Formats: sequence, structure tokens, C-alpha cells
Amino acid sequence: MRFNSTIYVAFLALVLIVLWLLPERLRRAWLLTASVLFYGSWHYPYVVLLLGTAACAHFGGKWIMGAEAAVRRRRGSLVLGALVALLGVFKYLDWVIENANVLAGWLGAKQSLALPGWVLPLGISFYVFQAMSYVIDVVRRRETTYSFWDFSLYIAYFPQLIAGPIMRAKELLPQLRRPLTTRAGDLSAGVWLLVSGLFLKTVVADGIAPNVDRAFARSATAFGTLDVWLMAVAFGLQVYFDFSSYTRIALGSARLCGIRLVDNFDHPYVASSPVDFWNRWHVSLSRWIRDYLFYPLLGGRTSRAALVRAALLSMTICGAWHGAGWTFVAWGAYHGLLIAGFHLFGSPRRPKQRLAAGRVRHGAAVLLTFALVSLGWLLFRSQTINQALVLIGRALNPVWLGQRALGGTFYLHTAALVVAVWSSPWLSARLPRFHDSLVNRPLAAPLARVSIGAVVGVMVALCTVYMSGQRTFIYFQF
Amino acid sequence: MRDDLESSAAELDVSGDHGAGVFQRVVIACLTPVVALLVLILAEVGARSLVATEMPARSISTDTVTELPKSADKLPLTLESDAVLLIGNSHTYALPGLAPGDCMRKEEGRTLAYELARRLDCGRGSDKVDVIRLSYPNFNAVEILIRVAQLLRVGMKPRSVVLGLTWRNIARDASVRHSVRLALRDPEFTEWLVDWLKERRRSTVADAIASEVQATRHEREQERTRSHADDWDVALSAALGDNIALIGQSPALRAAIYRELAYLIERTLVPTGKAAQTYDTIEEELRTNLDALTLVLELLAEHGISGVVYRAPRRPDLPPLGDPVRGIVELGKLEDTARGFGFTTVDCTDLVPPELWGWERHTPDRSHFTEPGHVLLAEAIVEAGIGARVLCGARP
Repeated sequence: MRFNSTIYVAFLALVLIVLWLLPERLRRAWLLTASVLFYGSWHYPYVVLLLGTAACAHFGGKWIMGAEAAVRRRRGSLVLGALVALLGVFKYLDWVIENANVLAGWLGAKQSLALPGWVLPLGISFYVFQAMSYVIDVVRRRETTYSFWDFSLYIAYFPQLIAGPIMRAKELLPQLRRPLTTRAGDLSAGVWLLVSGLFLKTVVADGIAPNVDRAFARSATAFGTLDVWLMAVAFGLQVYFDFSSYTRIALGSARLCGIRLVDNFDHPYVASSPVDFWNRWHVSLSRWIRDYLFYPLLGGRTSRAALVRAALLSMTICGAWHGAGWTFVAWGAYHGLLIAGFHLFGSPRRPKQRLAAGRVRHGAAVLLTFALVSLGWLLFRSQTINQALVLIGRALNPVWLGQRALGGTFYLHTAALVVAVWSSPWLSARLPRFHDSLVNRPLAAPLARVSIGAVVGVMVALCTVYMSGQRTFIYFQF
Repeated sequence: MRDDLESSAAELDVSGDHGAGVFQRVVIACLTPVVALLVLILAEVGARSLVATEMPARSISTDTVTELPKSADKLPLTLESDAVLLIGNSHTYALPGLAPGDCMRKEEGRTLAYELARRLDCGRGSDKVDVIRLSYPNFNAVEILIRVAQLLRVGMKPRSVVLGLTWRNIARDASVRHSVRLALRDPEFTEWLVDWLKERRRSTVADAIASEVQATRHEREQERTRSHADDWDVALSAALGDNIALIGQSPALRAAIYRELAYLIERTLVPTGKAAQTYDTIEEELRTNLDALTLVLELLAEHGISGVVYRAPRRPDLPPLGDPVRGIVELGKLEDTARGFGFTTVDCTDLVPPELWGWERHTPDRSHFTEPGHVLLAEAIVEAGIGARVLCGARP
């Protein structure tokens, strides 16, 4: 079920009430039951796939654990191969067959293979990667075994099941195995994360989505240079608010159970380099790519050639993970090039500048990174490589500056969101300090509480009104 | 229990003075949820009163006037072919408030379609000619093309068409709303339309239709993957919506919020003299719409149908929205094309005097005029059409 739906709010309330009423020994079983119901409410046959993935990783992990080093690696490869095959069959088979048919057509074949046309299992990319991280850590002797039911809960835990964050076993399982209690701090933090996440999704992300969708549905030749940059920035904001709001709801839902998940976002649009961007964007995935792809591909080498090769390959795979399509692969490769370029031409070791020059340089680095990342979003969002190339060509060629197809309100709306995104790190740093300064004043603390209550009330009211015009979260399709 | 409360209150850090009583700290901590709940209740009360003053659903259908369903997948079982088809945006049916602060009014048989029906007998005496109205708010040219093509394809052949042109819709919006896009779910119709457009070599319109076909495919895929939870959500929202206005009336509330925001922006950021800036022409949309209108006229002419094309009235006492000079030029070219296809044209831009326009709450309504304005418009159309012998078509 979608997080931005009335039924999810009702489901969460029911899960929490029962959780708090149950004795401790039954709480994990209840969470597992609720998680299976959550997944089954979408398409119940695929519950078998979910539990099958958990079983493969769990029993595979036990099989690996009992072996010597060389055998561990072989067994690990087999288990990982099975998990990758699961992902490949359910997510990529249609795409592979489509491309094979195209290739066959070019070679003169008359017949084509039929597409299976399976419904993409929701969240498969996430929970398979989560299972794979456990298996790899077992091979590396960094993980232990758990009971099958605890491990199944780790894989299927509903707040992070569909679109992450991708949790390591040692981050989540200890929390799930100790007594599950919700303290007052968890309650207030959880509710705030839930409400703010729903607000960001239903009002902010879905507010800009119609303009973005309409623009990308049109022929790329309709747009001028500024239009294309607007589309790139607007989509980048849409996907950021969409995905970060999902993460907030996931974090809030888990926090209400007394569980803390990893936050996937750290103000990515103030990143000062492509590497910095990936340290702030979809953090759980980027560290997965780093720990399980980039470093193994690097193999301990420090040469620039090795760095470039590892960056290109791991980011291309990252792109392919996002979707079965050449645009996603190209987007991943593009970011691989950016990271490789940063390692080749970036300046991590230059001498320190004077403070003023450092700020200017930092600002310029943030702007440049923002522009490069935005350009990449054209690849991610375009329906075909051809559309993406035409759009990128128009973005970079000033001859199209005179052409304009998008309305002024779209520009204003996007500009307002850019200002909000760029000022959010400053606000995030100062608001807690401001709040802390208020709690020491006798009258200010109640006033602060009333103000927060009013803001929360308005946000909940707006979420209720806008939730019925719901759109799916973008990352649900991965 | 007391230890838990104390540790929770300390965790909340509601007061720097940890000597303050537990009760006081708990009360302060409860302020947030209590205030939030109060705000929600106020919002619900406000939503109920706002929706109560909104325009109620229009009543349609008399013996002589029929409105085609907005949803393009819900065509009537029989389509009256001996009728005049009226095509236009909300100026054909909406009635504004009569004084500042008034909302839009319910239509009661005194708008353009009814006035046309009263005046058209085509030699049948008291047996009036039927009028079928095809209208949407801000009905744009690409949408008109899809709907007209659909109606002709299913066998409707009106005796004539009355087509209203509104410059601000032509100048800036060629996107297709969901209810019109439903027509593209008929694969046979879609295939025919795409092929027909290819032969006409109007790439702007062909591209626009192609993207709508793509959007239709995407919608169908989303429906294919619809989950049980989606059905439960619909049922739960419907059940709650009966009692909670914030849920049940959310579409009307969203429209009201958007409208108030738009007025706020217009009133505070855009002085009256510069209102045209909020409706700048979008070249690509304009080209698409002009091509689409040309194709509508061509398609009707291919089926032996002509009629009247008119420029919709514009409020004369306020600066025009969009570029009026450009509007005159482009609509002039379109009217030449229409005459080439056998249509009669009439310019009703300045037809309705200032005193016959209305209000949308506290803002003068630029788009909708009162009942006497509809009478004037109907008379102008009938006079032009009957005189040119196009409104009654070839049938008695």
C-alpha cells in the first residue's frame, strides 16, 4: 500500500496499537505478520518471492558460515548468483527480451520472442540488495546467523521494505531483537517525520509533478535552452522531494515502533562535488555501491586508472539498478564519469585558500555540482535516449536561448523550491538551537509548543486534502 | 510509572528547569497535539462552510439541450444527429456571481445552449432544433480535436457546429485532461486518429497526440498493477469522506486553495495594468492549438459539416489577458481558414457590455457573463448562421 494513502495511516495506527498492547515476546511476530500483510496487500502471490528471498539469504548464510575461506567465497558466489537471478528474472527479463527482439529484427529475423509481461514485484531491488549485503558480510566474516523469523523480519520490515533505506543486518537486527519500546521522544519524532514526509509528498512533490510530466511528454524539439534547464532542475526537485518524503515516512513509521533507520538524504543539493553528492543522496544505496562494488572493483589499487574504472563500472550498475532501460544505464554511467572526472581533475589536496575566496570557491563548486547533477536528471527522466540527447543538446547550445515553451508560473514555482532547498541546511542547523534557547524561558516553551502544534495541524489538514489526488512514489518503480 | 513519566518528560526537554513538576511538564508537552487537533477541527469547519458556498452541480438536459458526458469513455447509447453541436469552454455554460463576494451560480436553462435552442427552428416552427453541448473548463484545441474525431467516428453527424474560440486558451495550453484522454483507450479509434494525422502532416498535433497515447498506455499499466490496498483505500476514503469534509470534498477544496492562491498572487504581485503578463503566449502550445483547430475544421468539412465559428466575448472594462494584438492576427488567420471550409465567422469579442459581466467572489470575472450576455451571443450566432444558411445544414 502507498505511504500517501488513508489506508496506510489506518494500517500504521492499527499496527502500533496492537504492538503497544502485546506482551514483548509477541511483538516481533506481530511486526512480521504486519509486514507480510503490508506486502501482500499489493499482490499476495509475491509474498512467496519476498519470503523466498529471505530464506535464500538466511539459509545461504548458514551454509557459507560453516565453510573454510576459499569454499566460503564459492558458496557466497552461488547464493549471490541466486539472488541476482531472482532480481534479473523479475525485473530485467522483459527488457532483455525486448532488446533481443530489436537486435534480431536488425539481423533480419521475422519472429520475435513473447514478453512474459510480469508485474514488477514491488521493492524487489531494495530487499534483494539488502539480502545480498548480508550474504557478502557473512562471506567477509562480518556477520553472524540469526533465527529465520528474525531474519525474515529484517528483510520484510514494512517501513523500509518497498523503497529502503537499505539497512545492514548489524544495523537493524539488533534493534529488532531487543525489547521494542516506544518512548516519548520516539513518539514526537516519529509523528513529526510522518507528518512532514506526507506534506512533502502530497503538497510539494505532487505539486510540481504535473508540470514536469507534461513537459517530458512533449517533443524535445519544442523547448529552448532555459526550458530544458527548468525541466532538469524541476525534475531533480520532484524526485528529491518525492524520495526524501518517502524516507521520512519510513523513518517516522519505524521510529514509532522504537526503531531507528538510516536517513537517506543529507541536503544533497548543497553538495560541492559529485562524490559529495553521492555521500548525501540515497545514502544507503551509495554506501552499498561503495562497500560492495566500488571497493572490491578497486581491489586495493590506488592508481587513477583503477579509480576511474571502478567508478565507471559501479555507477553504471547503480544506474541499471534504478530501472530496466538504457536511459538509467546512461544516467549511471554519466555519474560514473563525473566521479571519475572528480578523481582525475578535482582538488582534494590543494592548499587552503583565504576564507572569502574559500566561500566563493565553495559556492561555485555547489552551483557547478548542482548544474551537472541536474543535467544528469534529463537522462534519468527522458523516455528514450534520443529524447535525452536532444534535450541535453538544447541545454548546452545557446542558439536555443530565444525559444521558450514553458510558462512563467512553472519557472516561479521551481525557483521557489530551489530557494527552499538551498536554505534548508541553514534552517536545519539553526532551528534546533533556536528551539533549545526557547525551552529555558518560562513563557516561551509553551508558546513554542503551541506554534509547533499549529504548524502540524495545518500540515495534517493540507495532507488530508491533497492525499486523495495521490501519485505513486517515483522510487516505487525500482 | 512515575519514573517513566519523569524520564520521558526529561527526554522531551520541555523545560530547562528540571525542578518543575511532572504535571506541568506533561501539560506543556500535551500542548502540541491538543493545538494540532484544534487546528484540524477548525480546518474541518472551514472546509464545510467553504464547500457549502461552492457552485452546486449544474443541472443539464431538457428536451432540446443535451450535454455530452465529460468522460470520453461514456458516450450516450444514441447520439442525436439532427442537432447543432455547440463546442466551447466554460463561457458557454458558467454563470458568474452578480455582486462582489458572490460565487458562481447554478445554470437553469438560460445559458448559450438553451438560448440557441430557443432561436433555432430551421423551418420546423414550434418543433425546435436540438442543441448538444460539448464543453469543459478551458477546453483547448487538442482536446476539441480528440472529442470531435471520436464523435464523428462513432457515427454522430450534427447538422452544424457552433465553435467558440477563446484566445487565452489557444495561446498557452495544449495539454489533454484525463477525462478526454479516455477516448484514446479505444485502440481502433486511436490507430485511425494517428494515421489520419500522419496523412495531414501536422507534426505539432501528431506529437501532442503521440504523447497522450503514451500517457494512456502508462495509465493502463498503472491500472493493471492496481493493488488490493488501492481498492481498500478507495473504500475507506469514501466511508470517511461521508463524514469528513477534508476528505470527502478534497477535490473542491484543492480547487479552492489553488484559486485563492492564484488570486493572491494576481492581486499582490501583478498590478491590474499588467495582468496580461500572467497569460503570456507559449509559442509551441499556440502552434499546436492553431494546427489542431485547423484540423477540426478540416475533419468537419470532410464529413460535410459546417457552421459558425465565433470569437468568444471578452470583458471590455479590464485589460485583456495575453497579447490582444497577436490574438487578433492569429484568430483572423484561423477565421480565413474556417471560411475556406464553408464556415461562417462572427467576431463577438466586444459584444457583451461591461454591466453584463459578473464576479467570482471578490474578483471581477473575466471569463463569464450573465444571462443577458448569453442572449446577446446566441442572437449574434443565429443571425450570422441563419443568414449564411450554415446553422441548419442541408436538412429541413
